[in-house]
Amino acid sequence: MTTQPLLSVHNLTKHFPASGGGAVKAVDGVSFDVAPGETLALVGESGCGKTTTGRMLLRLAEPTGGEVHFDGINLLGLGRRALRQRRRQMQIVFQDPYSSLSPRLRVEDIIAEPLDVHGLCPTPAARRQRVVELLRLVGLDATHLRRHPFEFSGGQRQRIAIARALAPQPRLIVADEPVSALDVSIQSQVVNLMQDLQARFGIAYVFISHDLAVVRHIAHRVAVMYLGRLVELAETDALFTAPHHPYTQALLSAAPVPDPERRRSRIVLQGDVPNPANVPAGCHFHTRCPIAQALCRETVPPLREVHPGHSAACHLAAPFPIPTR
Amino acid sequence: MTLLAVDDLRVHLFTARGVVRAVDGVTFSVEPGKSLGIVGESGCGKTMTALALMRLFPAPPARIVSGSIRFNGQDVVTMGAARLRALRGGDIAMIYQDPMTSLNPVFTVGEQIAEAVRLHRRDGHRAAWLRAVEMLRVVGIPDPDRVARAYPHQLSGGMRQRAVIGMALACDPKLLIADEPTTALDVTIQAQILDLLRRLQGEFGTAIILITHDLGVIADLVDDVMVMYAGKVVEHASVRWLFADPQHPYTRGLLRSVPSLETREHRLQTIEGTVPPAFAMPAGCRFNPRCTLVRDICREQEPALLPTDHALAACWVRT
Repeated sequence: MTTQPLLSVHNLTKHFPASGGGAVKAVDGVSFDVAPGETLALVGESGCGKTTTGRMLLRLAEPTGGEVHFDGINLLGLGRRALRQRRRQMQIVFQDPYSSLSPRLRVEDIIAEPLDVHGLCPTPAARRQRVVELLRLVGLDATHLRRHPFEFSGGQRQRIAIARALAPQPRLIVADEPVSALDVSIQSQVVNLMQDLQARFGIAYVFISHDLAVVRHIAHRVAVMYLGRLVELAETDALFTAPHHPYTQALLSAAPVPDPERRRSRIVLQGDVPNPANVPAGCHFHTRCPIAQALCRETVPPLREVHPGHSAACHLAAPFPIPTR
Repeated sequence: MTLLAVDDLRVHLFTARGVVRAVDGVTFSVEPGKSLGIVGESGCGKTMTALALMRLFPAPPARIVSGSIRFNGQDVVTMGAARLRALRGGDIAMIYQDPMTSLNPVFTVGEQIAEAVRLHRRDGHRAAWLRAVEMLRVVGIPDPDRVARAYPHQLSGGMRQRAVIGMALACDPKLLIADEPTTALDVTIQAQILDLLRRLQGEFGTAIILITHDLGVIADLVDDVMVMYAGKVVEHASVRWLFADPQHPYTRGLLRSVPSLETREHRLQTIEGTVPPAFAMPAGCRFNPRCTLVRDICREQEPALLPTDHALAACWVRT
C-alpha cells in the first residue's frame, strides 16, 4: 500500500489476569495496517482473539499494550471526549442482530442514535430526512421508520444495524461476524450490500469472520489468527491459492466444500485448540501441527515476509508443505 | 426392508395467532444403513420434521394432523407411551446442535452414557459403565477412563460432541438423527466430527438423517438429500445429482448463493426477497414470490413432488 494507512495497529496486546497469578493472553502482539477503503479480514476459530482485537480497535476493550493509530493519532493516548469525537469515524456492526438492537426503540431512533450522540442533525426534520436516506441505502424505506426490531427478519435487522453504523459517515467499520447468524440466501444479500456501500463511500472494513468463503469474496487482505497471534497475513488471492502457514492450510482444507465429488481430500488436524490460559511454548500451533520440529517447540516464530506483502509466522513456512489425504 | 417410511406427514402448530403449517405434506423413506440430508433455511420445517419422527415436538402447540410415520414396521403416530420411550434413545437416537444442552452438567459423562445403556439394555451398573468407557473410546476420545469421570464443563466443545455421539450410539440404534451436529463447532473440529460420523456409519451400519443449513456438510456426508422450503419438500435427489444438476429454482438459488472458496465472483448471487411469514403463506407454490421463473399457474396451484430425469422436484416449470 502506497497510501497512508487509515488504521495502523502495532503490537496490540490484551492480557486478562487469570486465577493463580498467570494471564490469559487473548491477544498477544498483533500488528497490521488497514488502508482507506480497504477490507481486511480477521479470521480464526473461537478463542483466537479476533473479536477482542476488533473491540480494541475502537477501545471497546482496553488494550494492555501496544498502539492503535487511526488517521495518524494514537487512540490509546486520547481522553474520553477526544476518543468520543474520533469514534464518530469508527463504527461497529455485531454478529447477532437480535441482541444488538434495543427492542424498545423504534427503527428511526435506533438509526438516529449516533446522530444524536454526535449532534449531527440539529433539527427533527433533518434527522428524519437523514434516517430515511440511510434506510434507502440499506434497502429499506420510510415505511419502516416507526416499527420495532421484532417486526423484522434477521437479514432486515442486520440492514438496520448497518444503517446505524453508516449514520455518522464513518471511515472505518469493524464488522464482527456480520453475516454468520443469517441464512445463506440472505447472507449473500448483506455481503453485496456491504460491498456496494464500500464502493460508494470508500469505507474501510475490518471484517471478522470464521467463514472463509465469505472472506474470500469480500476481503482485499486476510489476517489469520491462532491463539492470540497473527500467523499469516496476505492479499486474499495469495492467501487462498498459496497459503504458507500450516494452520492456514488446514483451515482452508477443513472448510466443507459444496461438491460431493471432492470428499475426503482434507487435512484433518488432530486434537483441540490448547487452553489460552496455558498456551504451549514456542509456536502456539506446534501441538497440532503435522510438520512441527524441535525448533517449533522452543522458539516463537516471528511473522516474516515470505513474498512481498505476504507474511507468515512459521519456521517452516512454504506453500503446501502438508499433503492432503 | 425400508427402515423408516414417512407418508404425507403434516405437523401444524396451533397458536393464538393462527395455525402454522410447519410440516405440510412431507413424504420420504430411509433404507437401513443409508443417510439422508435434510437441508433448508431457518423455519423451513427441517427440525420439526426430525422431531416428529420420535414425536418429540412440543405438544401443544404442535400436533400431527395427518400422515403416517412407520419405523421398522411400527406406527409411530399411534404408538403408546411405553413403546415410544423404548424407541427414543433405543432404536432411534438423536444428537443436537449444542452438545452442552444435551448433557446434564451435574453428572459425569460416563454416568450419563451408562444411564442410557441401563435404561435400554437392562445391563447392570458395572457392565453399563464399561460400555460407556468403550463408547468414549470408539468416538476417538483419548484416555476414555479419565474422561468418563469428567463433567461436561471440563471438556472442549468437540470432545462434548464426541461424547454425545458416543451416548447416541451406545444402544446400537438403527437410525441416528443429527440436527446441525457441527454448526456450533469450529471448522477444524467440524472436520473431525464429520470424519467420525462417516467412520461410525460404516462400522455400525446406522442409518443417518442429517439436518443442516450447510450445503458443504451435506456434500460431505450423505447419500440422498431432501431440500425443504416453507414446510414443503421442494426437491429430493441423490447428493451427486443435487449438486450436479439441481432441479428446483430454490435449490439452484441456494447453491449459487454459497460463495466459493476457489474463485472470487464480482457479486454474490442472491435469492431476492425473504421467506414468507408463517401466517401468510402465498397461494400456489410457496416459493413463487421469490422465483425468477414464475408463471401464472405457480401463483394458483401447489406443484406436486414429481419425478424429473434424475430427481423429484415440486415445480410447475421443471416437471
